[in-house]
Amino acid sequence: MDMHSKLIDLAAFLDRLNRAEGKADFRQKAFHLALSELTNGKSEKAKNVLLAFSDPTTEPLAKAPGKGAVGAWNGEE
Amino acid sequence: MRYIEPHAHMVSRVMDDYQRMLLAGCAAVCEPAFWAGFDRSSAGGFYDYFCQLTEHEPKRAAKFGLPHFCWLCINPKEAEDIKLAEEVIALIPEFLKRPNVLGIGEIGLNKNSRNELKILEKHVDLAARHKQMILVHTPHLEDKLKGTRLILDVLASPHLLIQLL
Repeated sequence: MDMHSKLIDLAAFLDRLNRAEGKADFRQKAFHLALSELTNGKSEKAKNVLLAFSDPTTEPLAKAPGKGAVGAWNGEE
Repeated sequence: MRYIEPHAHMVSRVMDDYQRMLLAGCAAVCEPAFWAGFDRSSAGGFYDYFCQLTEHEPKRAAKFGLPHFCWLCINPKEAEDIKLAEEVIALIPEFLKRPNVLGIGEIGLNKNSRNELKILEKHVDLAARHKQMILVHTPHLEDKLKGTRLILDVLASPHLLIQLL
Protein backbone atom coordinates (compact mmCIF):
# COMPACT_ATOMS: atom_id res chain seq x y z
CA MET A 1 0.00 0.00 0.00
CA ASP A 2 2.91 2.31 0.69
CA MET A 3 4.08 1.97 -2.92
CA HIS A 4 0.53 2.55 -4.20
CA SER A 5 0.37 5.76 -2.22
CA LYS A 6 3.71 6.97 -3.62
CA LEU A 7 2.59 6.08 -7.14
CA ILE A 8 -0.60 8.12 -6.74
CA ASP A 9 1.45 11.05 -5.39
CA LEU A 10 3.62 10.82 -8.48
CA ALA A 11 0.62 10.62 -10.81
CA ALA A 12 -0.98 13.63 -9.15
CA PHE A 13 2.27 15.59 -9.51
CA LEU A 14 2.37 14.77 -13.24
CA ASP A 15 -1.24 15.89 -13.58
CA ARG A 16 -0.35 19.21 -12.00
CA LEU A 17 2.59 19.57 -14.37
CA ASN A 18 0.30 18.90 -17.33
CA ARG A 19 -2.16 21.54 -16.16
CA ALA A 20 0.53 24.13 -15.54
CA GLU A 21 1.29 26.82 -18.07
CA GLY A 22 4.73 28.03 -19.08
CA LYS A 23 7.85 26.49 -20.46
CA ALA A 24 9.36 23.36 -18.90
CA ASP A 25 12.83 23.82 -17.43
CA PHE A 26 15.81 21.47 -17.25
CA ARG A 27 14.56 19.88 -14.03
CA GLN A 28 11.40 18.67 -15.71
CA LYS A 29 13.41 17.17 -18.54
CA ALA A 30 15.61 15.32 -16.04
CA PHE A 31 12.53 14.21 -14.13
CA HIS A 32 11.00 12.62 -17.22
CA LEU A 33 14.30 10.96 -18.06
CA ALA A 34 14.34 9.51 -14.54
CA LEU A 35 10.74 8.34 -14.93
CA SER A 36 11.63 6.48 -18.11
CA GLU A 37 14.18 4.50 -16.13
CA LEU A 38 11.36 2.95 -14.13
CA THR A 39 9.78 1.19 -17.08
CA ASN A 40 12.58 0.55 -19.57
CA GLY A 41 13.22 -3.02 -18.46
CA LYS A 42 16.81 -2.32 -17.41
CA SER A 43 18.28 -3.23 -14.03
CA GLU A 44 19.88 -0.84 -11.50
CA LYS A 45 16.88 1.47 -11.59
CA ALA A 46 17.72 3.41 -8.42
CA LYS A 47 21.23 4.09 -9.71
CA ASN A 48 19.96 5.20 -13.10
CA VAL A 49 17.33 7.47 -11.57
CA LEU A 50 20.08 9.19 -9.58
CA LEU A 51 22.26 9.45 -12.66
CA ALA A 52 19.43 11.11 -14.58
CA PHE A 53 19.70 14.09 -12.22
CA SER A 54 23.50 14.15 -11.90
CA ASP A 55 26.16 16.29 -13.53
CA PRO A 56 27.99 13.82 -15.83
CA THR A 57 31.00 16.08 -16.48
CA THR A 58 34.38 15.56 -14.86
CA GLU A 59 36.12 18.96 -14.99
CA PRO A 60 35.79 21.40 -12.06
CA LEU A 61 33.84 24.59 -12.73
CA ALA A 62 35.79 27.80 -13.29
CA LYS A 63 33.68 29.45 -10.58
CA ALA A 64 30.92 28.30 -8.24
CA PRO A 65 27.62 29.57 -9.71
CA GLY A 66 26.13 30.01 -6.23
CA LYS A 67 25.83 27.86 -3.16
CA GLY A 68 22.72 25.74 -3.50
CA ALA A 69 21.87 22.63 -5.49
CA VAL A 70 18.72 22.79 -7.60
CA GLY A 71 17.86 19.12 -8.01
CA ALA A 72 19.07 18.42 -11.54
CA TRP A 73 22.04 19.20 -13.73
CA ASN A 74 21.48 22.12 -16.08
CA GLY A 75 23.52 21.13 -19.09
CA GLU A 76 23.04 24.55 -20.63
CA GLU A 77 24.81 26.24 -17.73
CA MET B 1 19.79 2.66 23.36
CA ARG B 2 22.80 4.95 23.77
CA TYR B 3 24.25 6.59 20.68
CA ILE B 4 26.90 9.09 19.61
CA GLU B 5 25.60 11.92 17.43
CA PRO B 6 28.20 12.06 14.65
CA HIS B 7 27.10 15.24 12.87
CA ALA B 8 25.10 18.03 14.48
CA HIS B 9 25.44 21.79 14.09
CA MET B 10 24.56 22.62 17.68
CA VAL B 11 25.45 26.33 17.42
CA SER B 12 22.18 26.72 15.52
CA ARG B 13 20.18 24.63 18.01
CA VAL B 14 18.30 25.73 21.10
CA MET B 15 18.83 24.28 24.58
CA ASP B 16 15.66 22.20 24.27
CA ASP B 17 17.35 20.25 21.47
CA TYR B 18 20.14 19.21 23.83
CA GLN B 19 17.50 18.02 26.27
CA ARG B 20 15.71 16.03 23.58
CA MET B 21 18.97 14.44 22.41
CA LEU B 22 19.72 13.41 25.97
CA LEU B 23 16.26 11.88 26.41
CA ALA B 24 16.76 9.99 23.13
CA GLY B 25 19.92 8.38 24.52
CA CYS B 26 22.66 10.60 23.10
CA ALA B 27 25.98 9.98 24.87
CA ALA B 28 28.17 12.50 23.02
CA VAL B 29 27.84 14.99 20.17
CA CYS B 30 30.26 15.80 17.33
CA GLU B 31 29.93 19.15 15.57
CA PRO B 32 31.63 19.91 12.24
CA ALA B 33 32.35 23.51 11.29
CA PHE B 34 29.90 24.70 8.65
CA TRP B 35 28.53 27.65 6.72
CA ALA B 36 26.59 30.08 8.90
CA GLY B 37 23.93 30.80 6.26
CA PHE B 38 25.80 33.90 5.17
CA ASP B 39 29.39 34.60 4.08
CA ARG B 40 31.59 35.85 6.90
CA SER B 41 33.52 38.98 5.95
CA SER B 42 36.84 38.27 7.66
CA ALA B 43 38.99 35.60 9.25
CA GLY B 44 38.16 37.21 12.58
CA GLY B 45 34.62 35.92 12.25
CA PHE B 46 36.01 32.40 11.97
CA TYR B 47 38.32 32.92 14.95
CA ASP B 48 35.27 33.69 17.05
CA TYR B 49 33.41 30.72 15.54
CA PHE B 50 36.29 28.37 16.41
CA CYS B 51 36.24 29.74 19.96
CA GLN B 52 32.51 29.09 20.05
CA LEU B 53 33.07 25.48 18.93
CA THR B 54 35.91 24.81 21.36
CA GLU B 55 34.90 26.84 24.42
CA HIS B 56 31.29 27.98 24.50
CA GLU B 57 29.47 25.04 22.92
CA PRO B 58 31.17 22.38 25.11
CA LYS B 59 29.99 24.34 28.15
CA ARG B 60 26.45 24.47 26.80
CA ALA B 61 26.48 20.71 26.15
CA ALA B 62 27.98 20.05 29.59
CA LYS B 63 24.90 21.54 31.22
CA PHE B 64 23.15 18.37 29.99
CA GLY B 65 26.07 16.08 30.80
CA LEU B 66 26.87 15.69 27.11
CA PRO B 67 30.50 15.56 25.97
CA HIS B 68 30.90 17.86 22.94
CA PHE B 69 33.51 17.36 20.19
CA CYS B 70 34.11 19.39 17.04
CA TRP B 71 35.83 19.55 13.66
CA LEU B 72 37.39 22.77 12.35
CA CYS B 73 37.64 24.16 8.81
CA ILE B 74 36.25 26.71 6.42
CA ASN B 75 33.30 24.98 4.80
CA PRO B 76 33.42 24.53 1.00
CA LYS B 77 30.47 26.91 0.72
CA GLU B 78 32.86 29.72 1.69
CA ALA B 79 35.90 28.40 -0.20
CA GLU B 80 35.38 30.47 -3.36
CA ASP B 81 37.25 33.37 -1.74
CA ILE B 82 40.76 31.87 -1.76
CA LYS B 83 42.40 34.66 0.23
CA LEU B 84 39.85 34.48 3.04
CA ALA B 85 40.02 30.67 3.05
CA GLU B 86 43.81 30.70 3.36
CA GLU B 87 43.61 33.16 6.24
CA VAL B 88 41.11 30.92 8.01
CA ILE B 89 43.18 27.77 7.44
CA ALA B 90 46.17 29.57 8.95
CA LEU B 91 44.14 30.08 12.15
CA ILE B 92 43.31 26.42 12.64
CA PRO B 93 46.61 25.01 14.02
CA GLU B 94 46.38 26.98 17.26
CA PHE B 95 43.03 25.32 17.97
CA LEU B 96 44.07 21.73 17.23
CA LYS B 97 45.40 21.06 20.74
CA ARG B 98 42.12 21.97 22.37
CA PRO B 99 40.63 18.91 24.08
CA ASN B 100 37.38 18.64 22.14
CA VAL B 101 38.87 18.99 18.61
CA LEU B 102 38.60 15.80 16.55
CA GLY B 103 40.25 17.03 13.34
CA ILE B 104 39.61 18.95 10.12
CA GLY B 105 36.07 19.10 8.78
CA GLU B 106 33.64 19.14 7.30
CA ILE B 107 35.79 19.67 4.25
CA GLY B 108 35.05 18.66 0.67
CA LEU B 109 33.25 20.31 -2.21
CA ASN B 110 29.94 22.11 -2.73
CA LYS B 111 29.60 23.23 -6.37
CA ASN B 112 32.77 21.49 -7.58
CA SER B 113 34.67 24.64 -8.51
CA ARG B 114 38.43 25.02 -8.97
CA ASN B 115 38.77 27.24 -5.90
CA GLU B 116 36.85 24.74 -3.78
CA LEU B 117 39.28 22.06 -4.95
CA LYS B 118 42.30 24.21 -4.07
CA ILE B 119 40.97 24.78 -0.56
CA LEU B 120 40.14 21.11 -0.13
CA GLU B 121 43.75 20.27 -1.00
CA LYS B 122 44.98 22.84 1.53
CA HIS B 123 42.76 21.35 4.24
CA VAL B 124 43.97 17.81 3.53
CA ASP B 125 47.54 19.06 3.52
CA LEU B 126 46.95 20.76 6.88
CA ALA B 127 45.46 17.57 8.32
CA ALA B 128 48.38 15.47 7.04
CA ARG B 129 51.01 17.86 8.44
CA HIS B 130 49.34 17.88 11.86
CA LYS B 131 48.36 14.19 11.80
CA GLN B 132 44.67 14.99 12.08
CA MET B 133 41.64 13.03 10.99
CA ILE B 134 39.39 14.58 8.33
CA LEU B 135 35.62 14.62 8.00
CA VAL B 136 34.49 14.88 4.37
CA HIS B 137 31.30 16.50 3.09
CA THR B 138 30.08 15.51 -0.36
CA PRO B 139 27.98 17.92 -2.49
CA HIS B 140 24.21 17.76 -2.72
CA LEU B 141 21.88 16.38 -5.40
CA GLU B 142 23.11 16.95 -8.96
CA ASP B 143 26.62 17.80 -7.79
CA LYS B 144 27.16 14.74 -5.58
CA LEU B 145 28.44 12.18 -8.08
CA LYS B 146 30.94 14.49 -9.76
CA GLY B 147 32.01 16.03 -6.46
CA THR B 148 32.56 12.69 -4.79
CA ARG B 149 34.77 11.57 -7.67
CA LEU B 150 36.78 14.82 -7.53
CA ILE B 151 37.22 14.46 -3.76
CA LEU B 152 38.45 10.88 -4.15
CA ASP B 153 40.91 12.09 -6.80
CA VAL B 154 42.29 14.68 -4.36
CA LEU B 155 42.65 12.10 -1.59
CA ALA B 156 44.42 9.70 -3.96
CA SER B 157 46.84 12.29 -5.35
CA PRO B 158 50.47 11.13 -4.97
CA HIS B 159 51.85 14.14 -3.10
CA LEU B 160 49.14 13.86 -0.46
CA LEU B 161 49.66 10.12 -0.09
CA ILE B 162 53.32 10.73 0.70
CA GLN B 163 52.34 13.10 3.51
CA LEU B 164 49.64 10.79 4.82
CA LEU B 165 52.15 7.92 5.01
